[in-house]
Amino acid sequence: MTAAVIRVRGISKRFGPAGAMALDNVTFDVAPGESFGFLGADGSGKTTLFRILAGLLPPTAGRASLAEMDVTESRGFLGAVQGYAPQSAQMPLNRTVADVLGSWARANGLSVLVRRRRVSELLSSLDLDARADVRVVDCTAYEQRRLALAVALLTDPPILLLDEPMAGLSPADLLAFSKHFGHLKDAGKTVVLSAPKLASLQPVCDRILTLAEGRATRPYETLKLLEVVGEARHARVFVEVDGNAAGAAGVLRSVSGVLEVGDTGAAILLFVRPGMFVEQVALAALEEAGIRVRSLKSAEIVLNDIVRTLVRREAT
Amino acid sequence: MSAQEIVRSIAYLAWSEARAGLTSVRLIAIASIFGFPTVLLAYALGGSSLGGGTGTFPVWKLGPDGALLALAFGFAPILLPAVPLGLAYDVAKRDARSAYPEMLFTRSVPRWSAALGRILGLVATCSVLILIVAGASVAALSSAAGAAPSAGLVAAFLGSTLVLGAQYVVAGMLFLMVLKPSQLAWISFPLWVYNQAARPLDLVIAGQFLQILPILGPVTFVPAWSDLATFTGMAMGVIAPFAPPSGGLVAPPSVVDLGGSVAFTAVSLAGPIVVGFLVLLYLAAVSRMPLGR
Repeated sequence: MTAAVIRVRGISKRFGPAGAMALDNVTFDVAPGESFGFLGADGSGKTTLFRILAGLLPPTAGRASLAEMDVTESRGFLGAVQGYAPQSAQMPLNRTVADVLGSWARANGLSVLVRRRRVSELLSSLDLDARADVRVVDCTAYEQRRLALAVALLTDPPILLLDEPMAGLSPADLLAFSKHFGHLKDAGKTVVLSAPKLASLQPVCDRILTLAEGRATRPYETLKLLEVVGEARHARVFVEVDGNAAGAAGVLRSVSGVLEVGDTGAAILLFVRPGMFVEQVALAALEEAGIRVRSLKSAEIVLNDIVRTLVRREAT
Repeated sequence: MSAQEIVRSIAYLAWSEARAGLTSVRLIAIASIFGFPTVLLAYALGGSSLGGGTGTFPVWKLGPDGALLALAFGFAPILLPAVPLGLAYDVAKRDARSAYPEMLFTRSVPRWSAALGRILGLVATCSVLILIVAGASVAALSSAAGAAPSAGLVAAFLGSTLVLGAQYVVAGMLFLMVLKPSQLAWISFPLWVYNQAARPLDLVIAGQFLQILPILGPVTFVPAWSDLATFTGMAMGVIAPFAPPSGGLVAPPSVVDLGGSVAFTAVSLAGPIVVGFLVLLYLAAVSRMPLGR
């Protein structure tokens, strides 16, 4: 087993003494040369995790290290081993692609010769050479994403931390972009990236950690995750009853196919397994218990539900 | 990361920061709003110095030197801090829009060097703007008075405004380590009030008020030390050695008044030393502290 190049142990983050837990006891390792993904909806804790790994945020608890450098103790020098592309970074819109890349190369202290060679290499390898003299404002989202990746790659760091590098890309762009990640993997880079959609990470990542409301699963190999997600697929059913909602929830918990029973405030929320859950059975059970049902509606599954189910399943 | 790369990075970041600041419409507007009144006041003081005076009060009646002292001690410290505080606010607004610090402080160069490049660029930006205002003020004063103040006093005045600006701009950046742009705007006002009010209040407490108010006698031991409590006092300390004795504002070094002499020297050196200390504090804070909350 190769030693992990990124090691995260029990990282938690709470914003303010009474704030919500943005991350709750997250633990994982990333091996050298691995492509590793964070999968989760907005607000799941992906960006917080990136900012902790980049040394920008202190964890409330736990430890993390990049290339043996503790992210808290060595935060002033982490840039030597990682290239970070924040989700919120805004490139200067009125400057050209080559100018932006050259500016960051100078900010990194590269000499004139190294700077010219490196900028030229990156423009070429990321298929941006034809767009070098185009202003950022006139670039497509895909071109801007490749420019952000080029900035992160300027000093050829062994680790890349890319927060939602594929946000806003079309399926065709996603496919094209995955080719570039393949080149990074061939070059031995350790790449950590995030996305809210499994389809974005699937072609790129060796393993994926899923996050929901700050809690994480263990990392799954991508193929295994696809299999597990398939098993975890479920539907949501909202049930409204007159009176005795607690009693109704108890009745519904015993109905076949019901995985979990929650409460939205306005309705009882059921997570059910399609095929096993039969609406008529649920209605009959409630009627038998003397509870009047006002409505029963099914809703589409969403990623957060899948991830939440995985997290809860692992917790138990 | 070699020393050459670090030096190149610092130089580029300083230049880049200065370019961003000096092309910021918001910053130029703030500097203009507070710069024009300073120049106008300088012109008025220069004109009123023409009457000539026999005593030490009012000080601007002592010719161009006296008028410049009145500007340097009375008005510049009130108006000029708006430039560095406006600069810090402008930086905060730009940063919030672009996530620039997240990009800057995660590059391959050590954070302290990126922070040094940035702070040098900001001090340079502030210095250019303040020199324009202070230089224009001296020119206006000379024009109205028909003669220029002595060269040493002009140089000391310009130096003191630079020290004042650098102190405020670095303090502003330190505040931004823990405050949002809107909070910086709110904290700037009490900081400015403190620097205007603490020195005279300290003089009152020290029992020297009556001695100073009519400017009848020299500033000695206690009030000289009191200057160390504020940016304004330390900036004035830069001018002190160049002020004409007829201004009655400072005590020359004296073996008889050893305490006063030490205080005199300490206040003169305090401004630049405090700027250096604040810069080191900023570099340490950026290197060691998280940049988010």
